[in-house]
Amino acid sequence: MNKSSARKLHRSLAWVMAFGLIYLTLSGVLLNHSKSLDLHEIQIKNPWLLEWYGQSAPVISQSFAINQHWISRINQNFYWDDKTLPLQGEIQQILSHQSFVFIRLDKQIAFLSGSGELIDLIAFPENIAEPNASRLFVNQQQIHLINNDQAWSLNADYSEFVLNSEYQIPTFKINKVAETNNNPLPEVLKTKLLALTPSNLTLEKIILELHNGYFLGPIGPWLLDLFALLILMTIISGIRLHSKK
Amino acid sequence: MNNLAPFLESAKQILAKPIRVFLLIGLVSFSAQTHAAALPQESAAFLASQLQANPSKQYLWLTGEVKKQVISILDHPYYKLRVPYWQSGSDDELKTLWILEEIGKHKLITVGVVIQNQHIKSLRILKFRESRGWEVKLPSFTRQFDGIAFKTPNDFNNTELTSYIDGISGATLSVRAVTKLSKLALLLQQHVDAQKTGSL
Repeated sequence: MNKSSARKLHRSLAWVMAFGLIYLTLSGVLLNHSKSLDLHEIQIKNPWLLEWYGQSAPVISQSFAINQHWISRINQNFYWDDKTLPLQGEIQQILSHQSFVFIRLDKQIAFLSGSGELIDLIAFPENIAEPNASRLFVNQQQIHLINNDQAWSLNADYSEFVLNSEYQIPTFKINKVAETNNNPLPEVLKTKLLALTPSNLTLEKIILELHNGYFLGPIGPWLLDLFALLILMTIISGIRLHSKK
Repeated sequence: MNNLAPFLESAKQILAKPIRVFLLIGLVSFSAQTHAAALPQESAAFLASQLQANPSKQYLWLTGEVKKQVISILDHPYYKLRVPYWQSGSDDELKTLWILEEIGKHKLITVGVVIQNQHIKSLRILKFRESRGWEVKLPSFTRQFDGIAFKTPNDFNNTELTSYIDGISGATLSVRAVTKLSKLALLLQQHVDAQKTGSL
């Protein structure tokens, strides 16, 4: 290679290296100060980025209107209007009784105040055969849970269901409240909740993966290796040009 | 509904007036039954190992001033409005067991705390759900809580402990959560004791 070509190659490599080094330096500095910059707290909700990381964008799975309030589930998060509820699972049924609300979930029953504060979580009776096939209903101001022709009544403290073998299960059709009230959320609330829904993807993760190359998948680190090779080539071509002066 | 009825009937009015919210602190519902059966296995085992047979299960409502003090300890409200506790024994031998939960980093850590004479007698991690920070389950960590209390008992606004709790490298958030729960148990115990003596 003559001197002119070597100089051209060196310049081209230097340009690539300069951009690459700026990119690595900036991302490195950001990662070094990630905690103080709270990068791990900055949630990314961009649908394209979420899809790139194989995460689902927030989706309203269930929403119910009850006593002029909305109970909704977005991904795995529960909301009472726009307030988060510390619940998990899927809403099987919602029952409003006096100034309380009961949400039958997969594994337990949430007992809430009329203003949407979680009072307690009530366990299903131990010997219940199919909790998911059970139904909550109110009869004569008493809350009952029925399943397979068995009935349990909620005790005085509203803390557990007690087997009520003498209870005659009424023959009337028990409303499946959750199914009948599964209505679409009002647009204003929907927009607000979608913005509130937390995302597991953080800015810190994206910068880290841009820095180490994994953002581009398994090929990323190989591209960084190639970049390292370019740096070596630039250094070598630079030394050679310098020594030939 | 005998104990819940006052809460039920006046919930709206109470919440509308702060003074009534304060009075609501006194609403403790009593139940003479043992509820170990409804508890998860590890909690039931802890209950059986720490208290005499058939302890009484009661509830403390976290409303009004109690709620504010809880927030000052946890930096957020407790996730439930009512907290169960179990008691057995009498007078100086009276032991209270609290089962409390707090998020470490992402998931709830369930902790059982036994209190006697406003001192922690025993603390145990009943359920640890996080992927990191499990070291808090080790007896070498939980033993630190044995015998500790608030520096200034009955001062609801000073929640400093009599001993410093040593941290564990790599389990900072779990250590913080367990320490907060120990303070919470002591605070709630003070409220239960104050209600019994009528000093609240």
